[in-house]
Amino acid sequence: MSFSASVAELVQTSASPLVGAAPSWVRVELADVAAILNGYPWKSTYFNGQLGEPVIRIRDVTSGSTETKYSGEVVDGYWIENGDLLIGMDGDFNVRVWDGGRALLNQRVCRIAPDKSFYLPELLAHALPGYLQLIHDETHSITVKHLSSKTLAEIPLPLPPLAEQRRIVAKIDSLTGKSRRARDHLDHIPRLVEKYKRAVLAAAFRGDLTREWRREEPRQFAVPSRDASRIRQKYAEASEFRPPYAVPASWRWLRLPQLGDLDRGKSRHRPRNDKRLFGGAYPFIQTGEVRQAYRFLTTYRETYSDFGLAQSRLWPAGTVCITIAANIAETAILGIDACFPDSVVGFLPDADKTDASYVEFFLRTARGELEAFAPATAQKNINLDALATVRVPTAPLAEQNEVVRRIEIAFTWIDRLASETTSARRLIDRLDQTVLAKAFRGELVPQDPDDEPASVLLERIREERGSATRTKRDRRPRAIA
Amino acid sequence: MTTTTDIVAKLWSLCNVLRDDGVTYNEYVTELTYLLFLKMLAEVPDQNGVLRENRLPDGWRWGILAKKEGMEQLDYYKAMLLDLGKAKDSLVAAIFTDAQTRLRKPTNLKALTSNIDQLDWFSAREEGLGNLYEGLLEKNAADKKSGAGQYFTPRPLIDCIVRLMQPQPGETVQDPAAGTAGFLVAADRYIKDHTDDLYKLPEAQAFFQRHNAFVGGELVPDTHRLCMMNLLLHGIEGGVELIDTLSPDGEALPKADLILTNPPFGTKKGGGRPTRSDFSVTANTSNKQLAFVEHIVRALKPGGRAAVVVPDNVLFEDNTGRRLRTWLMDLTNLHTILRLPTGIFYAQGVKTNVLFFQRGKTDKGNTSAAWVYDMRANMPAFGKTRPLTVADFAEFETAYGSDPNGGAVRKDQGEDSRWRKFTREAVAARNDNLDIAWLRDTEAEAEEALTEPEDIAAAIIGHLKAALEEIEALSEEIEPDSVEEAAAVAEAAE
Repeated sequence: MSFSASVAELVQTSASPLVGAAPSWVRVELADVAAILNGYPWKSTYFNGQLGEPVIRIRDVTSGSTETKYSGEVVDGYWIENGDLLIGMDGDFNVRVWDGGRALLNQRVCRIAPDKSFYLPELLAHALPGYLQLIHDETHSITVKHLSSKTLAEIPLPLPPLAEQRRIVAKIDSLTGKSRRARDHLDHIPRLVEKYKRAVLAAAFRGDLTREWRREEPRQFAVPSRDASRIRQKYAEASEFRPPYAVPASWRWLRLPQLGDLDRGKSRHRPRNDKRLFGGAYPFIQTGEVRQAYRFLTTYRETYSDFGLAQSRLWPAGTVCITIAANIAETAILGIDACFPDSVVGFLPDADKTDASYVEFFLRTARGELEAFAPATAQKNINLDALATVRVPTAPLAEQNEVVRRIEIAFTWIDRLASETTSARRLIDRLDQTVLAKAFRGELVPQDPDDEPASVLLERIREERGSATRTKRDRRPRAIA
Repeated sequence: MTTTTDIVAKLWSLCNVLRDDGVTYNEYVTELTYLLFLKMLAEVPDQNGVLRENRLPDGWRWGILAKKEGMEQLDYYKAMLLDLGKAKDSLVAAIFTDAQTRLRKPTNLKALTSNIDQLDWFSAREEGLGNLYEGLLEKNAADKKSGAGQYFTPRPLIDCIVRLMQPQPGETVQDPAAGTAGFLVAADRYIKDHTDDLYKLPEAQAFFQRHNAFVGGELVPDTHRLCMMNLLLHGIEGGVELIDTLSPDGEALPKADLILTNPPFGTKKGGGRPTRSDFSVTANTSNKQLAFVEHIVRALKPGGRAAVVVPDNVLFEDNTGRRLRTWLMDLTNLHTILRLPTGIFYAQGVKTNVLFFQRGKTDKGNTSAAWVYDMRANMPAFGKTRPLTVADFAEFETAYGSDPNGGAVRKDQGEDSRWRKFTREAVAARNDNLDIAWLRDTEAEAEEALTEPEDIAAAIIGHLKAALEEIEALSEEIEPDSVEEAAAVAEAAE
């Protein structure tokens, strides 16, 4: 469905500053200062990916480059060059100054070519999005919104004196140059933030973060392994292990069964979704919740009933949950007592040996390359046995607490930077909008009484068009002055 | 008998001991400044053979300080610092203004004084006291929390610039943003290397080198203190004033044959404008680096030469920036621009360049071409794990040639190389924008290669700071300016 009311009325009643005009300006209909070229309905049977001339279709106005080629006969008059102003006439009514190379204009895409001696193309490119947005918002459609050339032709553009147009355009350019450079810089940051976190974790588990701490607290005892009697038979023997890097002298490479209880969750009953299992007092955690949690898991969707508990096991808060049966082990620490199914492994640390946060951070660090921390015989799929072979670089207990503390400080700091980045981005967006709003209120650059007034310019335009009244839009492609 | 080198080594290792006691590098090097100065006064006579100690108010002497013990010594020291800050002698006052000690344990003070007491001042100066001091300044700069990074230009860069600029005995060398005197000391070292430590010079010239050759300004009192001490440790007395070069005090600096400088990065909060009456181009800007460039051009004697480290925005900023560049290329021969790699400064993530130019004898059309060396694109990620070295500049120095004023025979090495020539017309066609890059830059790759948390954090902060500076500039510019300004912008854009 198309927009059918009067554009002029819409603009008059709108509060949007983007469709404003300074008191000393006038308005002129788009068709009076610019030629509208509707794209040609090239036969789509000739559309392909390789042969022929590039064609600009609606989606290309959004993406900025062509993907389609047209191999049929070419009719003259539909060539688009870099610098041409294009509008997609369906959907979001996108505007773009084209720089994707010479190409043919397809139907439903429109080229607007203003007469430079009356209206600067750059100013038009800055002004149009505001009007198109207004029309878009007022166009009601159940499916795709359509923009008609008639509506386009009637857009009452703000007409500043030509000299003022030049000043406005120059000023906007200078300002948007800055916001573009600012955005460029901000775009580098998210990836760097991820790198930073990984680098901090890597440094943490090499002992780099606590180097000074060790000098101040020299007498620390290495963590001993669990007594053999407390380790499950199948995990008692350790295969040979070559550490991937050196750790401080007081650290030990220990396996999880040597540091605490390592076991799969239980959910023996079948069918797994038997209603009798659920709806009780015992929180029940699924793998998806472990995946989504950041460090501590405190919320849950399902609960087990007494029946559910009987076929499972309730793990205490402080248990590290590790998802298995995939290539990446996701981790979280229980903030509450809970049950979980056999697709999750639980690790309950011995309090005198290690700390859940320490182990969880380590697994987070190591998870992409668990093979480095386990002997070569470990399987590619994560499962309980594979996890049982993973070696944790275990610092003395007090140092473990310090490592966790330093990681937390570093992460908090970097998260603050990341949120500053987000705020900065929002600020830039607001500033860009402010620039345009000011521009179209006539407040971006001063008015100069010596400029040829807008009303005189309008007169000249009307003379040029050879008519004192509004002319209908021109279907034929026009030559540009 | 402990040698000087042993003592210097001891002082260096004391730095770590004190660090564990909560004394930062900055505080340590400042403590050393106070104590070394007192020691110097006690040992070094002035040109009339009079012991300089007499400059100090009565009752305050190194000898007394060194003999005291325990808490008594610490108390005497504290009182001394307070009183010396009010001294009449300008050099003494410069060193001790607002002086405070951070030492809390008398044993630490004793360790310092007993070591320094054993020094023979002259042999210490010969044998590395200056290097110790500069080493500490560098450690201080690298300590990101200290914020001192902005006063410290990396040594390999300074040395490269000095080698190219070839300071000569008899020349007045100025640094209007002296920081801790890195450039001045390096220029002095170059001259000494070429004159057998000034021995080859007649006495009058040697005197000039020690007292009048090196001049400049530094704004921050704490930094100025370190600057003075650094100069003293290299046998240079005075010359750098505690002033704001962008104020009328800057007009009074002696005109120079050679200016070497790295003005501090960033905009000062509150955007103060320069207050000098002789500024015409940058009188209304809050961009300090632009203002420093105007100062430098005005401070050069005709035929004088300069090398200045400036951030990217000096090269591309419109309006005032463009007017400055046009003016610069008229009054001087801007013959060389070096685009520096990122990550080499202790201040985080700034993009910088070195401008090399020579003041003309006339005021028009002095630049006919600018040679640009791109040392930024496709470079390793500099940082803690890959520090900048002398070797990194070797290719540039060869291309630059042996004439400090860019007059050596040079060859444009083409679009795929780092070294290209741009005529004045070519620059004008770009609207006098000197931010010229032609190599496909894989900056993203350089950042990918970073592994140390510190270096990555520095890169992040650098980007954030740069973005915020652009936003600040953007906000400032959204005020409607005069019609002339707006029209000028429009004209230039066409």
